[in-house]
Amino acid sequence: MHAAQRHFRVLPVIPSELVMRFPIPASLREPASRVRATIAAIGYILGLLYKEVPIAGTLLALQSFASGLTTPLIVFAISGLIDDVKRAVPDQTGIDSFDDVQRSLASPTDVWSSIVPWLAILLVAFIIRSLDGALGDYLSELSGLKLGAAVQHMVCAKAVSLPLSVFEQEEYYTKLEVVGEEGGSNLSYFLETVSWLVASLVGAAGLMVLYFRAHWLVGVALVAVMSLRAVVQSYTEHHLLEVSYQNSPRRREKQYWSRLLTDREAVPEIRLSGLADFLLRRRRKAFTRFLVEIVAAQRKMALPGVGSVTAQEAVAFIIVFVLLIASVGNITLGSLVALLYGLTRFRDLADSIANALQQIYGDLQYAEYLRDFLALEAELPTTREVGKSIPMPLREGIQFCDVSFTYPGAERPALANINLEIRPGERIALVGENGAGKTTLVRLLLGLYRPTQGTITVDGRDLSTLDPHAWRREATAVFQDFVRYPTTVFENIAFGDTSFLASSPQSAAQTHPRVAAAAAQSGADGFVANLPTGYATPLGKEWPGGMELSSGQWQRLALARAYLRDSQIVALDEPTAAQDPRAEVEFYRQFIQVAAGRTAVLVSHRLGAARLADRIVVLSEGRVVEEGDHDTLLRREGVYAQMFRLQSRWYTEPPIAEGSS
Amino acid sequence: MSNVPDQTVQSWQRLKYVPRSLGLLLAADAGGTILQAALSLGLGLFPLAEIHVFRRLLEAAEQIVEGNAPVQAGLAWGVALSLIAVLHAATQQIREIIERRHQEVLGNYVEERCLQRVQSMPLEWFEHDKNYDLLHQVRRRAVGRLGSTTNFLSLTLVDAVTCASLLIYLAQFHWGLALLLAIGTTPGVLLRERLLRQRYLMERAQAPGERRFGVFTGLLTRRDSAAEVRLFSLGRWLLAQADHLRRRLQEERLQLAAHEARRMMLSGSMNGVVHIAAVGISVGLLVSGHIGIGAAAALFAAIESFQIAYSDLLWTGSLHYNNLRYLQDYFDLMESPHINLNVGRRLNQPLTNAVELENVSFTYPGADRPALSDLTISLRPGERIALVGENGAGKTTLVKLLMGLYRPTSGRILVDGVDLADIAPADWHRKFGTVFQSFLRYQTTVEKNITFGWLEGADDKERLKNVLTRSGAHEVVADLPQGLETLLGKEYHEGLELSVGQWQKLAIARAYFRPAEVLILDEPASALDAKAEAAVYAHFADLAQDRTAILISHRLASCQIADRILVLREGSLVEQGAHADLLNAGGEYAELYQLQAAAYQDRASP
Repeated sequence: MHAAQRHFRVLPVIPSELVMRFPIPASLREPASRVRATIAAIGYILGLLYKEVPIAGTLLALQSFASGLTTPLIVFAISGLIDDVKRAVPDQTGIDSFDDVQRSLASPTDVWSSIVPWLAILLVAFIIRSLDGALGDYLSELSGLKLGAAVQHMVCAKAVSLPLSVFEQEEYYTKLEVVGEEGGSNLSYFLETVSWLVASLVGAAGLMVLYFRAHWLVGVALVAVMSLRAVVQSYTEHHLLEVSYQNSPRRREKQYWSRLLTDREAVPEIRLSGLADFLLRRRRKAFTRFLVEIVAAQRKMALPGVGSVTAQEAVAFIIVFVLLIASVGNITLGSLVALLYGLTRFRDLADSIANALQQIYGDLQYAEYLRDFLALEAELPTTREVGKSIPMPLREGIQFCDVSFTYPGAERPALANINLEIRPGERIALVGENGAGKTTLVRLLLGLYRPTQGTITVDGRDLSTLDPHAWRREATAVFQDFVRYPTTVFENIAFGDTSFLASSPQSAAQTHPRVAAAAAQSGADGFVANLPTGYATPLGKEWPGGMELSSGQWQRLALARAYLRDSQIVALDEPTAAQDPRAEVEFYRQFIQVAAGRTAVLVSHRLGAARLADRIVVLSEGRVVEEGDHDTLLRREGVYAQMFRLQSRWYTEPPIAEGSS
Repeated sequence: MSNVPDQTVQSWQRLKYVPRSLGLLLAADAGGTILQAALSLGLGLFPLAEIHVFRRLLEAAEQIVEGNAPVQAGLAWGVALSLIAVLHAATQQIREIIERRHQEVLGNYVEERCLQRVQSMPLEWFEHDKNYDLLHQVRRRAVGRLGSTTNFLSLTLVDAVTCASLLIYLAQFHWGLALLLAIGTTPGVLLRERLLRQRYLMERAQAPGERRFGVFTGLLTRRDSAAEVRLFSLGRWLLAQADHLRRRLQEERLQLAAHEARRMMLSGSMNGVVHIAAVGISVGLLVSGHIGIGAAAALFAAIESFQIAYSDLLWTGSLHYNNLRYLQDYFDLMESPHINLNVGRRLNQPLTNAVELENVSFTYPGADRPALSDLTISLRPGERIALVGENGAGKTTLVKLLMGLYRPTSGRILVDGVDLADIAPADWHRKFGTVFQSFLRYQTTVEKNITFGWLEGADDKERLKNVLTRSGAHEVVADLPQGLETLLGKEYHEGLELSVGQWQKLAIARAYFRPAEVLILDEPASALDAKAEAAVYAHFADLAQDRTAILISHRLASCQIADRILVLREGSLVEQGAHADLLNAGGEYAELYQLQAAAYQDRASP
């Protein structure tokens, strides 16, 4: 008489923390499409199971079937045992009449031989029960790990196939958070939950035989009460999830402040500004708002939840008692024990079933979200000319025809009606104020974004019809917010051309000559030589022995990464922002070499650097406002000339007088 | 498992966390905890009550069936049994409902305490990768797990109470029964404990691998790396690495799981035998007439219930046991040495005399060579200083020491003759307005991004306007749909994303907003366009005489406006003086300056 539903691993392993974050997929909101979506989700999960864990899944199903049978077996055996003993000892009335018993006793061997089969059944049931914990744990872990890994792989593979513009949308992060790049931890418990459901259903069905045999009405009534409860419980769960979905932004806000407060990069600034207490209060406010609504929802759901369980219990007992009273005289003591004892076991099984359904409901939602995520459209050419060969080398060049680009969710375009021609082998400098659209233009050129309007052509072919991967193989770049990979120095550089990753020796002193050459070109070789294990040094505080680099050093690694790749197009977005003067000058010297024979685009606020270019393109508020070489633009006395004078006077005029702003 | 080192993670060592965790629970949510405990105790006793009433009911039923008693004789017991069952079910449901809220509150409490503690850690603490790990561990795992501490505790309590009460009940029929079950099931508990310890060790050994795995999946799915990963087609390689790692981790876990399964089957079979032996004894008692049918049925029920409660106990107990190690991480974090930012000499006066660095050296924890060595510098209030030097020369480290964020490894810093180490850090921090090289991008409104620099003055609209103009941030604001009220960032709301340069302008405005005595600008113009850059330098030149300013810049032209230029090289001071003097001296500074100026001179070829 104990609650077997606590076997549910799901309860502790997926704390409400995670379950509550599930936004309800749109398809599950509409009652009409809900059934269809649920069936589809079940089909999806089953397909996944069949593909990933066919053997372990089948074994687990068999094992849960056997384990489900134990409860009815035990009840039957106890019932039979009592009847047989009773028959053999007809007048036994208890301990008081011990002497009478001795007299009227049939031969003890008769008694024992008639109850041995019952004992054998009990033995089998107990052994199955004792073993299935161990076996079930193993099978569950096996299938869970495999399924989790499969889901995780699918999520990562999908994420990396998405176009860059998706990453500008909050929607993506919500979806990612729900499917959890950390690993489909939800589906990994699905099989385990299902196995409990199977076991409980088998057990309940077995017990039902007992009640149906007593009277079919009793059986029907019990099934009805149990179903009602399952429905009520899944409704309350659904409602709770919905409320927590509305709260999800609160929860994420809380998490944002928490993360900020522990971020190593953020700590100095927060401490100096004395912001910590304030941010802690903000975090708490977000949590309080979250909690209030959760609690309100729970309060509303408590009555139906508790009510349905209580009603199920009360009704079940009343029905059985009515049955028992009605059949006094023509029922054996064994059957009576079975009916009553079965009732308490039945309660546990009903709990199990309700809980399992509740968990499976969550899993189905997860599956729905997973499908939703996996259905995000991957980045592919718009037409059928997939993989159309990339012009090699470029002959006519790249042409922007009336190109506009608006970031998803933004009101005004970042670039508007750009017409620009980039000839093969040309060096272009992009200049302009912050937010003028320089970085966006570079990303369009690299095929990372697609124009919202207009076309970009490469030797006359529409860039959007070319294979984006093949196009990017022809390009290399340093981004303004370059990535600081928490990996080794070698990997940080070799990421520029993944073919070096596998082939190279990467001991402390020795590395692939091309990698070393790229490091020398970017000026990274100097500090790398000083690192404890040279190119093999892991970077970032995440690793034991990991080194932290300065911004300038990281930027040189990013440059080396870009230089490693042998490509027709080079785009450098503020490559010297963090560089000291010597490194900056060295960069300019290298740039001439690097750009030789390639088409190069350089974005810089250092206008002195713009003079390296054949042509300077001045952007302002998303439009091209001036174009030409340095001298032409200076003569024009336009935006560029003004900007250049502003910067160069520091170097050409005597120190400015104080208060000259 | 030969590959799992049998370390001495003794269970008793973990047990010392039990009272502490109770204290934690009470502090976080005393009402919820006590309620949970009370309900659990009750829930644990329900099975016993049910079995006892069941027995009485059967005994009455036996009489009724044999015609020795009227139906009414059993009715009272029947009603009692129903009531107990209903109460049992309702209590269980109520406990679960209460549990949810309690779990949220507890998780929040733990996280908040961690965050508070972290705020008072010395900055060097963050430089140790071990500490970084711990923080990560607590933030990412412990907080979620600790939320369920009470749940696990109360589940364990329920099962333990049930097992104990049933054993006592069984002993009343025959002491042998209780003894058999108690002794027969002990090896299983011990084995479970041993297996859990092995699992703990394995998970600990797997932690670095898991972390590396997280790095790969993060690179694959996150925004920061999305552009580069696409450009360089890193997706396939990263994915293969992640899969490879995952497979390796998985294999280790499965190996252990198989080992566990084999052992548990062994102890499981033993349990089965013990239970059937107990049933045998009961049958013997019945057949020999020592007990009646009712008692016998109750005995069977009690034995089965014990078996279920026992296997539950193994499970819930292991959950709790597992949880204790997260608690251990939490307590470790809470016990790390920390500083109180408000303790020390109060400093309410403005600086009058000088800030002096005396033979200051600083080595980052775990680093081989010092970042700064033997610096002696004196700064006067109102002075404008430029810090110049190559990447990695120690400029940022120097200002962090000056701001009191790091403490010198040797030497000392004197503030008007008082050792900085004796001054309350909070007071000292108040004197600085800083644009950090890695400035923050607060995911909130534009206005808050600026007023976060000085919360006390958040309502000063005049000051805000003033600062916007001086920093050039007004141009950023003018372009935004809701002006100052525009939400920024996409982490938890649908805000706008700014360019790096725009964010930097906000960071500058934030520093200006603070009425600080010392203004520190660490490469404030790295991402700025020419106009904004000129404005920053003009402001620097413009500063009132009573404000001290330190500028770190690679744009040497901007240093002309400084009263004094300090040139650092590999952590040492190599030159200092005014722009003109240093140019005449023809040293490091002059060389760097000429290099840079060449790009702007008319005939020069770069």
